[in-house]
Amino acid sequence: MKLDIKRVNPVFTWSWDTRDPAAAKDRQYPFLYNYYPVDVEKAHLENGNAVDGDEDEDVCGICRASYNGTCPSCKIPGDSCPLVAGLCHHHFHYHCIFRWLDTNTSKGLCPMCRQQFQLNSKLPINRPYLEKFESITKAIRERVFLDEAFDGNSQQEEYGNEMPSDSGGTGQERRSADQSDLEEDEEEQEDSFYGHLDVNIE
Amino acid sequence: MSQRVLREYRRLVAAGGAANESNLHPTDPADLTHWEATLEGPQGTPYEGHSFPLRVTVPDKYPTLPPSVCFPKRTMPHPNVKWDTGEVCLDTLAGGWTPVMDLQYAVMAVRRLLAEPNPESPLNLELAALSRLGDHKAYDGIIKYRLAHSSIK
Repeated sequence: MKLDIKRVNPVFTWSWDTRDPAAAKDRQYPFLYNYYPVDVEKAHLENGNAVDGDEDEDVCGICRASYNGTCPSCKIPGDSCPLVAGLCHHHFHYHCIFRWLDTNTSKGLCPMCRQQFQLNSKLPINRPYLEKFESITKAIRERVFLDEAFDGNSQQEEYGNEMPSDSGGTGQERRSADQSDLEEDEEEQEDSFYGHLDVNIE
Repeated sequence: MSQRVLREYRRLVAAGGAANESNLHPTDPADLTHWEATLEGPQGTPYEGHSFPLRVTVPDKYPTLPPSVCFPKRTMPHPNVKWDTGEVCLDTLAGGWTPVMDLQYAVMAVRRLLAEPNPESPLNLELAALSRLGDHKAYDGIIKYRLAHSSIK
């Protein structure tokens, strides 16, 4: 019998692997650990979860959408809406964390653990964004420094505090002033955010 | 950003009433920018036995910006709530906000504020002053008086 193969239609699945890179050592291709395709079925068996429904998947803490999906402003998952990984082992959609870090309120901190958010420079997926994040966190550190210098209120640094530590009406004035600052920044940030998009993502 | 609110709504609905003790729900399920919750006065506080409606407004830039919360005006006697407007001063909803927090977290934070007022950043100077002076009798008395005469029982 003779077979002629006329056409082959390969089908692939992929998903982001956000497990601890240290665990990647015993995988087949450790150098690819962030591109390494997770055995989807096996992963879901381990979690005891159904395959669909984003409630059960690993989600970006900011937009609550699956890592394998996109941030709210993108349509196509994967390289056009990539993940980045912080040194603190928290992962976000690049656009989500950037949008957050580009506000004064972020103080450059990871939204999960409130440590300074820094990209893990050893991971290949982070490489295109290292400079971008470096410059934005530097800018934020400067802004926060200036804010604090003018406030003369060192207690502002206590992030775990439930309350702003000002007293009387001044606190209120400052708060509303901050609020309007924020709104302005937000608008500028929107421009710069899409500006960055043009530079980085084709 | 409305996708994020939609996800929170779906999760609240899926989790059911028991997981949503403050009955956080959108005023209009077709809108999702205005929400309502009902806070039960925590035990052992002058608020015990009363329940308080809370309005939650979701900004366009949510969750980069925090939701804003407000009691109906002249219903909440509390050191960190402006009596005439119902405005709430809470760090979680200002400088302490991060986008991993959600609406339910915000409501829980306000609920915690009822049990643990912070007289250091007051919006109700009268109550904050009494609290700082340690005059608990007068403090509790004023709150109970206000609540007894409030339209919300």
